[in-house]
Amino acid sequence: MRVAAAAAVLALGAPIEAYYHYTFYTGRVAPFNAIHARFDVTALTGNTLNVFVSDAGPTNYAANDTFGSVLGEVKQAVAAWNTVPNAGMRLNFAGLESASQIPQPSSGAESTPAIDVVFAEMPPGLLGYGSPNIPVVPRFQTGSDGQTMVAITRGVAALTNDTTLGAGPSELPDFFTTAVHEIGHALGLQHTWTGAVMSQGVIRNTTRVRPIDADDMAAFNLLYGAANWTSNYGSISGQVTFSGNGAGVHMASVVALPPDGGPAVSALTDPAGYYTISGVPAGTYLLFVHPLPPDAFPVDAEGLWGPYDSSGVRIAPSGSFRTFFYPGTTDATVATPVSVVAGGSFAANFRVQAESAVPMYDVVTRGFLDPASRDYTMNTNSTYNWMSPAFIEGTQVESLVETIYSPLVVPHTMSILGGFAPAPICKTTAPCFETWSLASALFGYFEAPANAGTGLRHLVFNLNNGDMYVLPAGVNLVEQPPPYVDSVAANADGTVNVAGTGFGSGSAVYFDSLPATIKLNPCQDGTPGDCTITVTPPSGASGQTAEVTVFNADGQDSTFLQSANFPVYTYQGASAPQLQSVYPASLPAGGEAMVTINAANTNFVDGQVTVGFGTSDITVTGVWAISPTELVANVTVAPGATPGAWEVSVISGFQAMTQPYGFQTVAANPGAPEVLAIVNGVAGQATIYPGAVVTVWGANLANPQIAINSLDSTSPSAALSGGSAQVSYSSGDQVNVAVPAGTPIGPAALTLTTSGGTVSVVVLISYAPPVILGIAEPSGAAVNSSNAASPGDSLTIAVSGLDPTVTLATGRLQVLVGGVPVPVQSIGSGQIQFLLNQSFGGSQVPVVIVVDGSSSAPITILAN
Amino acid sequence: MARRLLLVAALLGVARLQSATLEQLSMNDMVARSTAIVHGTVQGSYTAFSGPLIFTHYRVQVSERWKGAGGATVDVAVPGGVASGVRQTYSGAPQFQAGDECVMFLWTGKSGMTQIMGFSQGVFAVAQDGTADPNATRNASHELMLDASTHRQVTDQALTMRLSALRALVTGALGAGQ
Repeated sequence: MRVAAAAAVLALGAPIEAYYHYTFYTGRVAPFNAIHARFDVTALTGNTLNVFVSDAGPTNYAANDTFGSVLGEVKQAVAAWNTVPNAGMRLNFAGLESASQIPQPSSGAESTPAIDVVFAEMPPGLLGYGSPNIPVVPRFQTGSDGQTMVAITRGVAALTNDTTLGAGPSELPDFFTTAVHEIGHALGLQHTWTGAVMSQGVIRNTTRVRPIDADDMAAFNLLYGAANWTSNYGSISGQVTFSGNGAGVHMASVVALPPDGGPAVSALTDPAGYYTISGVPAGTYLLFVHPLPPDAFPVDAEGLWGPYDSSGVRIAPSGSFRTFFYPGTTDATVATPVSVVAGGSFAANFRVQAESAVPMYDVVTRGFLDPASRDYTMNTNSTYNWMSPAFIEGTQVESLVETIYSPLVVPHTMSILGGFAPAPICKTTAPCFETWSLASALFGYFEAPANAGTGLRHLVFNLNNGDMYVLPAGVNLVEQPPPYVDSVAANADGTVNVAGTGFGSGSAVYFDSLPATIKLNPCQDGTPGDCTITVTPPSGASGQTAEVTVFNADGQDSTFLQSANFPVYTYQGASAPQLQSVYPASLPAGGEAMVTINAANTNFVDGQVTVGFGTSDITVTGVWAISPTELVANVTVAPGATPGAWEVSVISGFQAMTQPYGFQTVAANPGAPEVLAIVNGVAGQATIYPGAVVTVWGANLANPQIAINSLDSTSPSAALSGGSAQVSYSSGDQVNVAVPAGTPIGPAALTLTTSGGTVSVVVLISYAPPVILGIAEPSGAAVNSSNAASPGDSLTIAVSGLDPTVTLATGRLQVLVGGVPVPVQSIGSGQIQFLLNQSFGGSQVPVVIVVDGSSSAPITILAN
Repeated sequence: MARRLLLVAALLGVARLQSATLEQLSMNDMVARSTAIVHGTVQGSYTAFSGPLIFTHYRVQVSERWKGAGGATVDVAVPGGVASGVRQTYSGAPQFQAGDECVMFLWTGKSGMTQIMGFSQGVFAVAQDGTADPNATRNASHELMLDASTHRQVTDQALTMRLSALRALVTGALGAGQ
């Protein structure tokens, strides 16, 4: 029986952050205040951390593998860390850097922190490694969030320089997952034991479609969260002590586990046994505490790093103990679930019984996929594909899960949480498990409960000695077979038809490491038979043979059934792409400017191009494709940038172009105008549009002349645009200027000239917010300040001037009633339908439409 | 209905990894794929950069060389260490102290750098207990491993044997491979 425990929610004081990072303590006695090593966000441009890739690349490639595919994986891995909600730091895939210019800590060659991805010669068996650069003598400083920190000066992630080995070739999901993991280390994260991407390889359960988990997000935000990020999550705090002497347990792992499935969140205790699990999404959880496996602390210190005191002496972990669920049981069915709400805290203490050793840990799980029937039932065939971690299909009668642990420990029962019946040792029928000592394996046979759903499920092993082992995310529950690609066929219009089975509405199609743009996907989840998805492939290199993989939202992908002889797509032969010009080719330290890049034999597409300048002192804040061969980029040079010449790189799809020493940073020009930011002058309006008054922030801006010229050469009105823009105010650090009413939508160059010089930057001209013409009931009757709307009404807003592209990405539009978002039911060219889903008590409330963060003028209605 | 004791045939299966990090190397693999196998004592160490990566280089005085040609000492590079005032630390990378006695399975790549096979897989620590035939112990690795011969995922375990037994095992494997 599960008992709601909301009453136990307590308001606690300042959280005691637990160890999971690279951590220092100021002393060796309580209270312990953890000081983490992390990047100093204030040292970055725009809170953005650049991630560079060495232009040396791997030295040996697997068949069909390319540097472009490797770069695509790193780019995707960087993007994975940008999916952390409420983060206060973003990562920027910054293209290539010259291998000869990657700075060493003492060189002083670059002043801005960054991460370097390099390719190293690795002995057989080793795929990658990553680490932050941590000062040997920690210098405690105050971070932008007011917390004490040790600054990471640089991070490094090393991947193999031979993609014929290990996780290669690069297009395989393992290569991607390894890259995400090693970049995580470079960011300042160590290992966890929840199956998240920062888990050790044996228990990791992340994929390309779910590259990081809640535990990774919490760990990231503990270092780099935006102000008040914790208000969107709950937390769980308490102390773990030994039952015998009451001493605090150091480095016990406390885990919040969604009992019906989903990712876990965890924390480690400090030397006094205190812990706080931060970043817990609202929901219901089982809590358990477990000792870390002995291989986390091997005698030669090759496991977790630290924690260390301020004298550089390591604070050792406590000994082992028994695992149990809160409040004190090994039976998950009687464990007390706890409710976590956003902004709330839950208190949970644990008293643990010391043990001499950890009996079970690091268990590998596998499912058996029959390539003939394409299900996970173990039948009598002699050939299977082994999936790890295990997959089981809820719609089939019985699924087999194999667990491997050496030396074999035989439990009393083996359970999957979330409605599955526990499996005792086999005597007659499933659910049950049997042992195979030859392979140190257990084979569990499970029947999924009705409507079990999909997603991560957790394994519990109850041992005969009263101890237990919990493996979060040990099983993936699915409801359909994995996808299988039957054919890949090019169409005359440049699109490609990918046909096969097992596709769904959320299927993604990858060409090597990069996603293709879905043009048409009529496939429905769980529908048997063939289906065809039409895509536009990413820009490929001449003659490149790309392996085509389909990924489903449930974590299955077509490599499950096609791990060899991949379906491929071969790009047509073409001339090699070349960078032709970069203008300007130098910029002074400080400020922001537009750089125009022209190339040949390219097919630039907005959103698919990376521009890099080979030094962390330059940050690219925006890139726009003006034509298939022309780009403009906004470039910010750090105030303390080291003068030098750096490698320009452009990566478009799988094409990579470089111009060694193609861009220079020079000393600051004290009198030149500097542009730091351009924003809408009206507070709350996030976009810039024709007719808007914008504010330019910077330095040396007094008495400027400003021109705004469209960069969209295809726009019929581009030739009519531009010229002088009206300046309504200027001072040294601020200019207010009106965007001419006829300025075309799209990127435009704002050129500012003063007596000290000229600077140009790119501004994106958006549609002006729509105008609300009226609101009506379904009957057509107007809703206004006298004719009231009621809760449950579906209302229609008549609008003009709505950005037509919003219908393709409806998440860009919100309707606010009285400042409260309401469900948008449909968006048409001239009307928007929404549901008034709450009461406003007969008050006059404003209704506005917000597109990309800019609001229409309000219209007031009476709302019951 | 549960299916009992079924799975010898499954050993013939096709493996697919989702998160491989290490390939488990059998003793035969270690012997075959290494470029040198030495029994020696760590004399000291220094650190140096290779690009942005810090490597700790251990000078190993070779007392026995079971495979490969070379001199009386060998320079073994392990990722991580301290240089120029910063530390890089890599989980799983073995660390040594001067005086440590080990058997190392080594691999020298095209760059000329000599590294240990598969991090801790390639190290047997030799007990310094004063006996003529001390124990040699390999710690278990905690990274994901794939059995190279069966392509099964496996977990590693510590391995202890007499130095003489290890020597015989290696030389036997070398002999079998000839």
